[in-house]
Amino acid sequence: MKRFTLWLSLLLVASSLHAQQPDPKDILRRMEDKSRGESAEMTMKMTVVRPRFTREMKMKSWSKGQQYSLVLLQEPVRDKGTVFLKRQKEIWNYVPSVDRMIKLPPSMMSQSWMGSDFSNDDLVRESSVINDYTHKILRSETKEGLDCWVIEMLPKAGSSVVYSKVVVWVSKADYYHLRTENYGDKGELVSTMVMSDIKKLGNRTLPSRMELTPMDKKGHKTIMVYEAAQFDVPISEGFFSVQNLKNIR
Amino acid sequence: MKKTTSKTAGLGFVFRLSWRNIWRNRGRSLSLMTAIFLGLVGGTIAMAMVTGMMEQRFFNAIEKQYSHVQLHTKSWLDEGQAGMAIPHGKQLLDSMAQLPAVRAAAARTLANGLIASPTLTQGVELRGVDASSENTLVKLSEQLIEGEYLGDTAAPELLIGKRLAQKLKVEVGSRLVISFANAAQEVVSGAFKVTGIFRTANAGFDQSTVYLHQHQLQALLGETDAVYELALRLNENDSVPALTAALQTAYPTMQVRSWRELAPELAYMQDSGSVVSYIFVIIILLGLSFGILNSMLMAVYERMRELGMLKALGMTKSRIFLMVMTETLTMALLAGLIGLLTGYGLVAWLGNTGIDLSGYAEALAAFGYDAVIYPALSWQYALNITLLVVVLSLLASLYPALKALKLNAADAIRS
Amino acid sequence: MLLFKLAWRNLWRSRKRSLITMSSVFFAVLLAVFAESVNRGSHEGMIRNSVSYFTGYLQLQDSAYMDEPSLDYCFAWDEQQEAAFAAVPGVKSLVPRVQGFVLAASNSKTRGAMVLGIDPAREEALNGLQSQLIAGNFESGGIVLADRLAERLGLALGDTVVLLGQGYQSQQAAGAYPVTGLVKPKLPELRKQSAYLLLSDAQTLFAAEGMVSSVLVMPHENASISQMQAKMQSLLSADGYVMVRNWEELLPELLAAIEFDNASNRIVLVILYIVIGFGIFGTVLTMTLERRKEFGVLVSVGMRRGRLALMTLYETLLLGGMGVIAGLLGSMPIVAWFYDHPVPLSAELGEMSENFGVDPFIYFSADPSIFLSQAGIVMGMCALVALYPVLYVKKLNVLQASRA
Repeated sequence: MKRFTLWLSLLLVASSLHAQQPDPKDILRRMEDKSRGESAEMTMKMTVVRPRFTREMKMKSWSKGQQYSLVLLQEPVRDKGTVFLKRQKEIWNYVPSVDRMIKLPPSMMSQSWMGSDFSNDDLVRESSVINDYTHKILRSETKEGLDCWVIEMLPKAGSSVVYSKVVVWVSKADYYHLRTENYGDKGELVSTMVMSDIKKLGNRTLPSRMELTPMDKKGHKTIMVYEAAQFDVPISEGFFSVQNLKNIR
Repeated sequence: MKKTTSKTAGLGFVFRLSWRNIWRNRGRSLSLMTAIFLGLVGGTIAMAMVTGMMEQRFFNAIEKQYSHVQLHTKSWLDEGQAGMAIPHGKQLLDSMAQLPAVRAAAARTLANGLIASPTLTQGVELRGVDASSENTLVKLSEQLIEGEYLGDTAAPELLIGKRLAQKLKVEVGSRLVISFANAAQEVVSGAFKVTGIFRTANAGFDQSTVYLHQHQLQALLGETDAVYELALRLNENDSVPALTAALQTAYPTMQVRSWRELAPELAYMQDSGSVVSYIFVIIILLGLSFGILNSMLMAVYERMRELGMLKALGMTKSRIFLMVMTETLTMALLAGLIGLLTGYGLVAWLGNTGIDLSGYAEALAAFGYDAVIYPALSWQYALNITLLVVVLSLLASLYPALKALKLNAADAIRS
Repeated sequence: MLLFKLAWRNLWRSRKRSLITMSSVFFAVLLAVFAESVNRGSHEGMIRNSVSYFTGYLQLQDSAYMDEPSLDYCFAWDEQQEAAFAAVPGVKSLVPRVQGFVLAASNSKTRGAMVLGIDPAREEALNGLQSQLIAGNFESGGIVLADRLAERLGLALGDTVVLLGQGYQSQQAAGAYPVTGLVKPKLPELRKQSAYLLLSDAQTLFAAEGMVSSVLVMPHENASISQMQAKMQSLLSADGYVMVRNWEELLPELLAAIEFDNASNRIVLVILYIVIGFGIFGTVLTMTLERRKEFGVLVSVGMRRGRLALMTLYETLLLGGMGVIAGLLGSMPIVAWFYDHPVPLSAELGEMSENFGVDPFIYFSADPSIFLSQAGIVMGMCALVALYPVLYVKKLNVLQASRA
C-alpha cells in the first residue's frame, strides 16, 4: 500500500512537472489561433507618430486566413476610398482619385505602408512563427497584470527572417500575445511591439492596442487600435479580388 | 688670345672658344644647366607618375571590374528581370573560353532585388558567381578588406561592399535576407550570412552589389544553369575592338560591349588624360626655354666688350653668331639630355621598385589607384619630349645669338 | 632713401640688363598664372557641371534633408521669402524644387520614378532643361517624362500616367497626368527615371502646398559663395529647421575628387616653380657677377658693405616687383581670352564627354586669387633670389674685384 501511494504520488508529481513545461510551439499555436480566425472584419485607427508630426488614419479591414486581406481607408478625407488588397504574395492598390488599380512591384515591397513603421513587405510576409524558428521558453514574467511565458525564437538557417532573435510574451491563461522584441545579430534590440488594452471585440477578447516602436529612429512610433471586430464572418474568396477593389465602400 | 684673321678662323676655333666661354663663367653656366637638368628630371618623373597612375587605374578597372568584353541579352539590359538569361549560356562560356584571344572567362547569374538588415532594406544587384572562375577573372578575393572569400558552396555565403555594410549597419557574420522576383513574378527570398566585405574603386558598385554562390542563386530563381552575363579577359588590349565586333555579328540577339561602352569614363580618361599632362609639360618646357633665353641674353649684354673685341680682331659676324649659338645650344643640350636620361633612368628604376604612398592608401583606393605607384613612360613620349627640348633649345639660342650680331664694335669697346 | 634712389637709377643705367631680368620675371608670372588657371579652370568646370544639375552652389534645405531626403522635410516658400533671398548680393537665381520618389504606372507597366516639381524657365537657365525637350512642352497639369522612362512604360505624348506614392507627412500622393512632353536629359541616370511636373502641380500631388523640398542658389560670376551663405543664413531663423548648405557639403565625393586632382597638379606646378625660379636666378646671378668691378670700386671708395648689399636688394626687389606687375598686366588679357574661349577637345573626346554630362572643353579660371597667389609666389622667389647679390657683396674680395 505504501509503495503504491509512493508510486502514485511520484506519477502525479511527474505529470504536474510536465504541465509546467509546455511545448513552446503549442503555446504559440494557441496564441495565433486566438488572434486569427478563419475570417475577420475589423475597424481600426492607426496613428503614425513622428518627431515633427502625428497622423491619424481610420480604416476598415477584412481578412481570410493568412492569404487574403483587404484594407479600406475611411479617414482622413484626402485618402478616403483608398484600398489595399493582399492576395497571397501580391499587393494591389486602388486610389479613387485616379481610378486605377496598381499592383505593387517587388521593388516597392520594402517601402513603408501608408507612411507607418510597417513596410509593405511586413503585410505580405508569411514567416510562420512555428515553422521558421526554433523555440525555447526563457522564463515567466508579468505583463498587463498577467503572468506570461517569455519565449525565445531563433530563426532556422533557411528562413527569410531578418532578425537574429525574436522574443515573444504570451499570457499563460488566455494565450494573449502581449509583447514582441526583435533583435539584430549583435544582440541589439531593433524594434518592440507592445500589445495592451485587452477588450472584448466581437465575440472574442484580445488586446486591442498595438504599438510598434523602431529603436534606431528617435520619436518614431506606429499605434494601431482596433475599435470593433467581427470574427468568423463568412467572406468569400471572390471578395478579395482586384475587380472588387472599386466596389468597396 | 690667339691672333686670328677671318681667313684662318676655323670652325674648330669657334667651338673651342664656345666651350671655354661656358666654363669661364662657371656660376652662370652651372646655374642655367642645373635649372634645365632639374626641370627635365622633375618633369619626366611627374609625367611618368601620372602615366603610371593612369595605366594602373585602367589596369585595375579592367582586371578587377569590367574585364574586356561583356555579353548580355538585350532584354536583360533593358528590363533587368528574371527569365532573361543568355540562351545556352553554359555552352557559350565554354566555347568563349577556348578562343585563342581569350585569357579568362566567367559566367554570372544576375538578379535585381532587395537586401534587408534589421534596420534597412536596400535595392541591390545580386551576382551569383562560381568562386574559382570569378577569382581567376577579376581577383575578387584580393578586393576583400574584411572576412573571407566564398568557400563552402553549400553554405549561404555573401560578399557585400563596404559602403553597403555601413549603410545596413552589418559586419562579417551578420545575417541578411535577400529577396527578388523570379520569372513568374513571385517573390523569393533567402537568409544569408556575410562572409566577407570588399571594396573596389567604384563606391556606387560597393553600395549596390552582392556576391553569392551561383548555384544557390540559380536555385532561388528556379533556373538551373542560367547565365545572365558573360565576361571575357583577353590576352591583348589591342584585340578588344576586333573581337567585340566579331562577337556582336555572331550573336546579333545579344548585346556585346567592350570596356569602352561599359566604362565610358575610363575611355575618356585614357584618351584625354594625356592632353592635360602635355599642356603642363609644355608649360614647363616654355619656362625652361625662357630661362635659357634670358640667361643667354644677359650673358651677351654682359660680354659686349669681349664680343666687340672679337669683332674688331676680325671674327666674322657669322662666326660670332655661331659661337653664341653653340654656347647656348651646348649648355641646353648637355643639361637637357643628361636631365632626360637621368629622368628616364630614374623612371625605369622607380618603375621596378615602385613609389610607396601607403600613407595615402585610402584616398588612392577611392579613386582606383594602388598604394604603390609604378611610374612609366612610353617610347613615344620620350621621343617627343626629346625632340621638343632640342627644338626649343635651338629657338632659344637664336635670339641671343642674333642680338650678339647687332653690336657695334666701337660702342662695345667703349662701354 | 638715398639708397633707394641710387638703386632706381642703377636700374635705368643698364637698361638692357634690367629689362632682361624683368622679362624673366615677367615670363615666370605668365607661365605660373597660365598653369594655375588651367588647374583651377578644370575644377571650376567639374563643379559647374555637377552643381547645375544637382545641387546649385548653395541650397536652402531642411537640416535633416541631406541625410534623409524625405518629403517630410519640405518647408514653406512664398514670394516674400523669395524676394528677401534674391536681394542678397551675389544671388543670380533661386531655383525652387519639390521632389519625391513615386511609382509611375501606365496601363501595362509600373516603374519607380523621381518626380521633380520645377519652374521650367528657371531650370532652363540653370541647366538647359527646356532645351532638352525632344517633344511637346511643359504645361500646367501635365507631366514631362524622360525619354527612357517613357520607353519603359510604353508611353507617348498624350497618354496618361498615374503616379502613386508618399507625400508630405505620410499623406498619400496620387494623381493622373497627361504626358505633355518628352525630354532627353544629358545624364543617363536622369533619362531612366526622371519625370517633371510644374511646381504647383507637384505641390498639390505631394500635399505640400506652398512648400518646397529645396531651393537651389546660383550666384553671379565671381561672387563670394561664403559671404552669400553667411548672409542667407542670417535671414533664416536660428531655431528653425531650414539652413543653407554649400555644394561642398552636398557633393563630398566631388570635393574629394577635386582635391585629389589639385594635389597631383600641385606637383607639376612645383616643378614649374623650380624651373622659373632658376631662370630668374640665372639672370640675377649673371648680373651680379658682371658687376664685380663696380662693387669692388664702390666698396674701396668707402661705401659700407651693408649699404651696398641693401642697395642691391632694392634693385632686385624693384626688378622683381616691376616684372611681376608687368606679368600680371600681360597675363590678364590672355587668361581673359581663354576664359571666354575655352579650348575645345577633339571631336571624339567631345562626343564621349557629352555622353556623361561633362562639357567637352578645357576651361580656364579667371579667379583674381590666381593672379594674386602666383604673383605672390614669384615675388617670393625674387626675394629669395635677391639674397644672392646680398651675400655676394658681403663676401666680396675688394682687391680682386677692383682689379677685374
